[in-house]
Amino acid sequence: MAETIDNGKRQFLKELGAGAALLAAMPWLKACSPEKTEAASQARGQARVALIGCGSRGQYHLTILRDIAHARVVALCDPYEVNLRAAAAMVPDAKLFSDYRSLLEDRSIDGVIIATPLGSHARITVDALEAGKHVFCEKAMALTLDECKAVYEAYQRSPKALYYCMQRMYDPKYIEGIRQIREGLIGDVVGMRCHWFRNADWRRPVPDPSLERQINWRLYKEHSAGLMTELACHQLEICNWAAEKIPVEVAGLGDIVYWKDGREVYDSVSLTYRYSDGRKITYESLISNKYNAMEDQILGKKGTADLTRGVYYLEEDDTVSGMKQLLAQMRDKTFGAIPAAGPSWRPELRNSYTPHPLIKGPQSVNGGQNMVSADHDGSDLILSAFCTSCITGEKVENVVEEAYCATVLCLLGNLAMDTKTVVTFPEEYKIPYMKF
Amino acid sequence: MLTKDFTYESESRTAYCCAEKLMGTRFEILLTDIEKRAAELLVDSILEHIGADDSLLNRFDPSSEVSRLNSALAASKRGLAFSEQMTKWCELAEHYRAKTGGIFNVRYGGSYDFGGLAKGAELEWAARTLRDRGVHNALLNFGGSSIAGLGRHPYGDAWTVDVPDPFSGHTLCTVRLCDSALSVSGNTPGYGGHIVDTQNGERVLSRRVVVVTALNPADAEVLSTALMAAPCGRRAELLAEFPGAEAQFFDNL
Ligand SMILES: NC(=O)c1ccc[n+]([C@@H]2O[C@H](COP(=O)([O-])OP(=O)(O)OC[C@H]3O[C@@H](n4cnc5c(N)ncnc54)[C@H](O)[C@@H]3O)[C@@H](O)[C@H]2O)c1
Repeated sequence: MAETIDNGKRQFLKELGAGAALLAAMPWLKACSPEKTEAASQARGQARVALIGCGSRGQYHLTILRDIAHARVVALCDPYEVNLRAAAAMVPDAKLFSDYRSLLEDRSIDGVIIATPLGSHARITVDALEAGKHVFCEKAMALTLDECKAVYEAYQRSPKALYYCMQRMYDPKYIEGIRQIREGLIGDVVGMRCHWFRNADWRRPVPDPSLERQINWRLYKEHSAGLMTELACHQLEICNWAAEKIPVEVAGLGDIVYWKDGREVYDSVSLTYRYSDGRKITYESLISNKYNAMEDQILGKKGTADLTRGVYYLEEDDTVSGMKQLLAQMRDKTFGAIPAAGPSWRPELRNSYTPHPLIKGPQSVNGGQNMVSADHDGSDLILSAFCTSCITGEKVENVVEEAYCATVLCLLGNLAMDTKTVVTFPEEYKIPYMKF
Repeated sequence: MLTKDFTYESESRTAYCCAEKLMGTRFEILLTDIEKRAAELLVDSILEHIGADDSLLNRFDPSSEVSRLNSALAASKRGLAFSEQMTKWCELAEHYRAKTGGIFNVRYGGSYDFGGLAKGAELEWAARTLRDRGVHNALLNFGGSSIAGLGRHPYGDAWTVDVPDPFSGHTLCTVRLCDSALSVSGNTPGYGGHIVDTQNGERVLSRRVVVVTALNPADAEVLSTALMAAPCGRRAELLAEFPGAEAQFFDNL
């Protein structure tokens, strides 16, 4: 069992041909080097990590940690007994805490994994860094713009590593997709189109009405920034990655269209983010219809990458004509197989575009319906890299910056919708990492 | 009016021609080791022949014979008049209907549709014509889903074709063609259900691809359509009717 993740990881880096160029463009992948992990754990043993927040995501992380040979979960923390007990059943010899501050005093802990509701991310992250712990925090970074700034600044002062669980940064189809887009696969990137549709109320059963806000924290503004931080956060990050820029302004409309159940956050959002050169991200999320599922589309002058599915489509698809490939073979005196088009080729429909895979071999695709992500979406790699950092003490590059940019954009989107104005990126929240 | 694009490469003595919108799709033909003039004449006569059949069988052209027949049927007219050509097509369709125990049927829902037969039959005719005129190596391709290979690739021992998964683009299987033909049937993303189980009138909706090879292109075409519509239990029995044909099923894509 213990080998699953390390082997997978070696495979992943090898298959991507993770040479110097890729690592320079995506430096956070350096922390995934299996050699580094092996050397570190041979010299210093396992990372001693604690989980703060033992709900659904926290328990999912525990299942992954079980397969990470260089990790040991030594403590668990949750003020909600039910979840603490469920997690304790998975890690019977872990110390249990109900207050994260007491946990942070435990000097035997190298790093903490924060999987609490958004409203507490910033406070716990800053306290943990100041207590000398390495931190792995769930996205998004924080509930407010000022909290984002506070986390960013605390991180600048801290010698400790800080990771965010932005899986797409570690997902082979995204990594390979962005790499190829930068090499011109789909021509100039002219726009982005992302959406996330579900048909569910986002509610969890509540054993006692007094626990409503605590358990259904996603629905209330004191804990949550709604669809933007829960869903859009991952997707906006990818857009910036493809654009190699940060948008300068955002406009949008948000409403509660269907789930009028006392919630405070929108169940329907439509926004446009605009980059300084006029390119735009069109973003949409709705949770009362799931036909469109989830898509992260990067639109290029010559083609479209649908990173969610790990495929791309070409506007003028010469590769489809296997016969033209044959002509080239005759010219070059070579022999090879030619692709047949898919069955029943149909002109002039969106679906007549032929998908081409971005990576070879099987890949995991998450249609967006699950709360907890698909297997091997990258979460396992981030946790593994985090545990390596807990052993080596090395920081990870660019992850905090990417999480900061994505979260700030989500919150600016909410501001635009709340005020029904076009919001310009405020000077005070710019960081040197950002290019506009 | 047919738009065609003819290319001849004298170095490799290869001719290529592509015609858009023939039998509802793109038709491509590649002839190797041939003189330019001979290739042009051959290609023109093949396109002319297929074009004539297309104007007979095109259901989307209201003036085609099939359309006129179908509207007469819709109006419950009696004593339909069939041209000599149409009679031949109906005989061929009847031959395959009998051979497949009724699974393959060009007539269902009160109208005719030769879509599951025509491309294969045209390939069969074209391959025969080419052989008669001394062409031994060629590849003929209707929209990537009906392909006939005469002889072999000049630098290989056959023509080889990768069949992609229409949902992911990954290769499902690689097929060798050497005086044989390939037909692929299946549901593409967003366009499922174009094959109808003629016995119960239901559309075949599962994400399925069937890849058939046979010596005769028309056999391959009919068989791939029939196998797509047939219940799994009848596949072996259908295949047994077409000695030499082979099928690969990708049932849960
Ligand atoms: N990266 C992803 O794809 C992904 C997927 C799902 C969830 N998440 C994130 O994970 C986080 C948790 O989501 P969830 O679905 O597990 O929520 P959840 O409600 O199931 O779990 C949260 C847990 O945190 C506990 N908690 C609250 N305050 C705490 C505190 N101060 N100290 C310790 N524990 C505390 C709660 O009692 C609860 O058990 C959220 O930030 C969410 O956005 C990320």
